[in-house]
Amino acid sequence: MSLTAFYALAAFVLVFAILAVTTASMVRAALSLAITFFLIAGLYLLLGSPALAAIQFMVNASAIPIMTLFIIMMTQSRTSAGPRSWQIAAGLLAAAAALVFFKGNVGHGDGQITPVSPETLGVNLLQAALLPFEVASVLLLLAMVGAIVLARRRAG
Amino acid sequence: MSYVELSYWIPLLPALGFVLLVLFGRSLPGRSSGWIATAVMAVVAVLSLGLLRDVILAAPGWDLAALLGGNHEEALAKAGSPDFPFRLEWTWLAIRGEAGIPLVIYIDALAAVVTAMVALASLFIHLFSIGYMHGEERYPTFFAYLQLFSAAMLAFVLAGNFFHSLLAWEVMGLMSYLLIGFLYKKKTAQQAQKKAFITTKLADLGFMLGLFWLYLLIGNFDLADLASEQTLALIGTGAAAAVGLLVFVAAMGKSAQFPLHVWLLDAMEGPTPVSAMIHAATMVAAGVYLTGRFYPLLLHGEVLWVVAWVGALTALFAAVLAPAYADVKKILAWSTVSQLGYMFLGLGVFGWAAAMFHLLAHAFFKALLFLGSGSMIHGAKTQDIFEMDRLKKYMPWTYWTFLVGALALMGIPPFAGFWSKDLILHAAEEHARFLWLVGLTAAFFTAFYTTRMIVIAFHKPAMPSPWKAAAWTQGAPWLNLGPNEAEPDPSPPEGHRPHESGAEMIAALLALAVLSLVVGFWGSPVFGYGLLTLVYWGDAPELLPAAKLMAGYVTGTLVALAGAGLAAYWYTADPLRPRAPVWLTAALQRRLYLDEFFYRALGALAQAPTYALELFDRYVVDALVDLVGYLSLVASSFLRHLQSGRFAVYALYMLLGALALYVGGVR
Amino acid sequence: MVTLGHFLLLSGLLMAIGLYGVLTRRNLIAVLMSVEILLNAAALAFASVAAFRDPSLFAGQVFALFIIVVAAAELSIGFAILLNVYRTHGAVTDDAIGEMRG
Repeated sequence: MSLTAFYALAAFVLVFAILAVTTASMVRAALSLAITFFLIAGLYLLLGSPALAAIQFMVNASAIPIMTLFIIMMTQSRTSAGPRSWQIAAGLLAAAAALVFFKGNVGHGDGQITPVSPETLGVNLLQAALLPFEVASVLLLLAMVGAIVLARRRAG
Repeated sequence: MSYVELSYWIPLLPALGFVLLVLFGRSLPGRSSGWIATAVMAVVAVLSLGLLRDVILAAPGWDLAALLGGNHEEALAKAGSPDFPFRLEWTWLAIRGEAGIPLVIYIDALAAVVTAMVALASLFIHLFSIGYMHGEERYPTFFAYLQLFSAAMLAFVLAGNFFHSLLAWEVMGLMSYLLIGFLYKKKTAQQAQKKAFITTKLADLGFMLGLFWLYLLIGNFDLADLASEQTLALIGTGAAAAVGLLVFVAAMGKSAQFPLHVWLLDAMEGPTPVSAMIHAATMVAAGVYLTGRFYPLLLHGEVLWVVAWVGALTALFAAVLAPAYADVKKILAWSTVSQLGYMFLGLGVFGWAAAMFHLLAHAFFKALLFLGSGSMIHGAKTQDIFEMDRLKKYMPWTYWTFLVGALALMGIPPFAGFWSKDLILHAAEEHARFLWLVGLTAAFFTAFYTTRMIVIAFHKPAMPSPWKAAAWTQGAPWLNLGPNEAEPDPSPPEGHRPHESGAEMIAALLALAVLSLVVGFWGSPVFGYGLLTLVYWGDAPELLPAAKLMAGYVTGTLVALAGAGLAAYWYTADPLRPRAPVWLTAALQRRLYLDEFFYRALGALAQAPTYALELFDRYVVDALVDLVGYLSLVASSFLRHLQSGRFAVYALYMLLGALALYVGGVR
Repeated sequence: MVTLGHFLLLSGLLMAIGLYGVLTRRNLIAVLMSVEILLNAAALAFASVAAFRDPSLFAGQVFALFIIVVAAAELSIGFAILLNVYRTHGAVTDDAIGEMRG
């Protein structure tokens, strides 16, 4: 059952991911990306981590595509021009190289998924990982302030 | 507590005065900074007179009759006190308990006398400056400088260690530089201060080299040690000659001896009290004093004849040039050069005590003359003697005091210069007959230019100065100034009436006039050579009974009277006489082209190596730099294509880099 | 039976797709979207290794979480920069910012 679910999810993930990086229409690409991330949230559920799935759904599958759509509209980017031929070659080369990186890991077939409850994750986050957690919150604050300052229309 | 124990305050007090005036001078009202400085010098003068008293009481006494009879072994009438010469010593620059260079105050009779001279001259020059410098911008600074200068000069005289002499010597050089350029807005003053500093600094190199060499030879810098037989025995004749001459070069620079005299005339750009203090009475005498201190070494090295020749030539040279000048300060400057030449002549012909006597006498009467000229300039508003209007009538006090100084300078009995100069000439007659003739000729010219100055400035009505219009006074190539940059000295305003100077100034003049008379008599045979027997050192052939000197006295007086008479005869009739040919006057005015020669020759000498260096710079250094630039240009013409401006390409580089790391084994 | 290898292979494929997108896309917004895919691939790898291998069930999950955080921060700043690029250059393509070349 889980294998079937995995294959289904993985297939759609790949299809929409490829769509997201190849389609000429920017809006379509953004929507494909949202679907990809939504499906990845499903994969997190398969991995027994509903907390991650929820966060993935809220941040990557919702907030980011919406922001992307905004920026697409604000910059009037309807379409993305097609790649130059050398770019395709470079892209394929890079993709192949990435697969080479992962090649060695594919064989690890054994092991059991251990589900983790959102409670466990939360407790751990606020105990053992308290400092990184706070640092992450500061990072987000900085990013917010930075984005506001950068995007602000300058006087004159 | 004796004055000897207090003696370290003598240089210290003016130094403190300097600090005080530098820090707070600007906030002191009116003339108070001048009065404070004068008060400091008054205390110093009291201390140094007390010191002189202590020294006179402690010094050995001499039986004059035995001395005059040439019987030096039996001449000692009263043994000196056991701790004489006094010596105060402090540890300084101690390295692990061993004093590297001890701080020594050494007070023998000469040091005490010269200290008293410097303190007194400085006191009266301070007093004079209170009125003279009034209204001048930077009034407190002027007194601060005078204070530090006095401190340095006193420290130089009292130093028992040549290393400290050198330090004080250099401070004096600095103060001379600062004070010559005190009126720093005048371009001529700026150039003059540079000229003085560079010339004397060049000469000071001799002092340093000489001292270091001396240290290698005897292992210390001690002044008293140098005079001892044991020390001299350590030094070979050649080395002694070399060290002595090196130090003598420094003395020539400081005391403006030919050919290093070139700076002194331009130094007259400084305010008149500065000329009186530094460039007449004290600092320029420091060279003579130093040579006097190195006298044993020069004697040992058998090079005293060099000193004698330099001195005699300078004495004549300067005295001949002086009559070609119209600026009262410049005439006095030449006269100073000439009189310093006499002192070196005296040292060179074994007349050590006579030279020191002349040093003291000259200090007072030359300070008097310079201050008198300051009073004249102050009253007449010009420095040009032709533009001065019958000053005798308007400035009687100045006239009579100036006359005392002038008679002393000419060597008319019974004034100071007569006694001292004739002793020098007598010594020259004994040991170097030709130089005696040179000295006599110089004496003739001395009387001549002094009388000319007095007649034209004090007795004749004002007239348009013939020198100002003349072509040769335009520009000053020896100062590196073009025709338009050298400002002529200001003429007095139309209808200006000269007026007598203020009370402090007159008081200073009177005091110096009295002092120069006193010093003259103190050293004269009339009063038993008091000064000379006090500073008596070693062999003293110039001490002769007055009767034996009579021939010399008569000759000297006659020569002086001849010079004075000729000048009085010519210039009373017509101030513009004698009408020398233009080329001669121009040559004299341009100082026989010596300054220009130095300016050009030294300039060329300095430039020659720079041409070679320039070629090296252009074809070696620059070529290397160009090569480096060319190489990076070539490299960049290839590498710049990597910088395509397309981020995808950069991303690819990153990826390739990661791949390379992977392949290279970093996992 | 789903194994760790399945997830890692999927992660690798996503990584390859993301890299392809970064290198081929000419619109800068699309490039940033590709970067998002790359980051998600990494997060997925962390989460799956954590689920299969980490007995404490903790570090990998937290890492995945932080990757999401960093991705959000990166994207917001990136978009702000692109907005400025659009204002100055009138477009957000690689041609628009290609003037810095040797």
